[in-house]
Amino acid sequence: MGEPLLTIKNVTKCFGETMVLEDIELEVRQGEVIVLVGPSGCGKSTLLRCINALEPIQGGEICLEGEAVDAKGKNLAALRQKIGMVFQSYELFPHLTVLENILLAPLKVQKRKKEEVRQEAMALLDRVGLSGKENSYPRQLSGGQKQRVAIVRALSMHPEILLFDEVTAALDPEMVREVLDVMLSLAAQGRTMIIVTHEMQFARAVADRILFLEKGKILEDTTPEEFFERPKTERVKQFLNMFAFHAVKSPKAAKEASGEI
Amino acid sequence: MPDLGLEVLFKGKNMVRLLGGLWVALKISLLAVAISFPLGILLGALMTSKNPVVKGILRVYLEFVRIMPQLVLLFLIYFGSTKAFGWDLSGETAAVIVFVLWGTAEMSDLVRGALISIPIHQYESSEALGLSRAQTYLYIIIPQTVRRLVPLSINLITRMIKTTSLVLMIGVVEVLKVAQQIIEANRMASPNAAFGIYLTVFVLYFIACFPISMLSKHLERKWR
Repeated sequence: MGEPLLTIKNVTKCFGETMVLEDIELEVRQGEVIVLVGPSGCGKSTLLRCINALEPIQGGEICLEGEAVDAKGKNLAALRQKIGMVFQSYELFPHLTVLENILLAPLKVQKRKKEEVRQEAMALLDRVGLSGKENSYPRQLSGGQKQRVAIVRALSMHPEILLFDEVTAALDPEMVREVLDVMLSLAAQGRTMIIVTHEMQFARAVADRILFLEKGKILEDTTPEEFFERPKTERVKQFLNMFAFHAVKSPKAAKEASGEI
Repeated sequence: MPDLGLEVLFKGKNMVRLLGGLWVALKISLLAVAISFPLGILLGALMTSKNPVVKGILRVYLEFVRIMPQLVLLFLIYFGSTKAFGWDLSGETAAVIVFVLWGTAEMSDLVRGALISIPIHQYESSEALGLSRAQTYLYIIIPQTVRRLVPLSINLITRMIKTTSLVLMIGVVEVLKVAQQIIEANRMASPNAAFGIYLTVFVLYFIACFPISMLSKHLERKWR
């Protein structure tokens, strides 16, 4: 194992007086899939947003391949090209077609050749099951399709690392699956990803490491097996019980959620 | 069929005079549009600034011009300001000034509304892709703002054209004033001319505004 791809050192983030991230330490290696879980408001999304400087940090340092990601830094745009981000609400550009959405940044930011980028985009669209949709507008797509386009848009920049911010939270259940499947196949390809999600079974399937955040601190940093079967802290047990509790009406689902299957 | 007095239209140069009047109305409103739209875009963008002083001043200007009936503004500029400051304004110039003041205020509010209606996430997802601030505006924010803005601003153009019917009150001979003059001149010969002439004025306004309003509908559908 070489140098970590992403290093987060002593990162502190405040909104006014409130501290939302406190002394976060994290190293992400090439090809690792990190899943951030925790109660809402624990700072998981904020941490993701700090990683590509959508939120300024008040202390510490975030480095990608040794270069500091700084909201005021000169090479921020260059660094952001290496960090793909997918948002909960897709945030496709509504005035552009699917293909234009995907091509915009590679053409305008990376100044790549149109034909090459287009071919790559078409291949990616095909891979996520959206061939034939390239000339549609976002408003003509379902939520799950939009989110897959958003993933392709992020991929087309050839990012070193992908950030997923609760990307299935706004989707209907049957669409959740199609998006998660795309993410699973990305993980299988060895992509480096940091995922914030509330889908516990998915977290277990996709993660190399699971980080549990609470009140802006990392409470546990462990493997999925350890996390779901032998959580170290009472807080995590309590958190996981919430999912079991939600599922008691179906015995099978309850077993899965509590990790017996 | 009642006598509408339409024959008056064909006496002398009456029809040409009416068209001339329409041209005066269009000249005032379109000149005002040409000046006030760029100004409105500039002020509208400034209204979204974080500077409270800039925002406050623009807010006061906007509310002032909006609350004031256009007729009062016309009187204020044409009769009031000329007396107070001793300058010399033709009716048409005063009309253009008032329409520019009014159009700029309305346009800036439309621009402000369109700009703040673009969700913050659009900026973020663009920047997350590595686009610079300028590229974000050029490719993402401005195209979306324009799409929201065009139908609204076209409506404003038709409103401005229609409102020029007020400028006869400061002595500008536009289409409505010409109509009155024609009716007056023919009161003995065709006492019924009022209906026919005003009907013609109605049709002229319609011909001027309808294509513009259709264009707006078309763009709205196209851009949805």
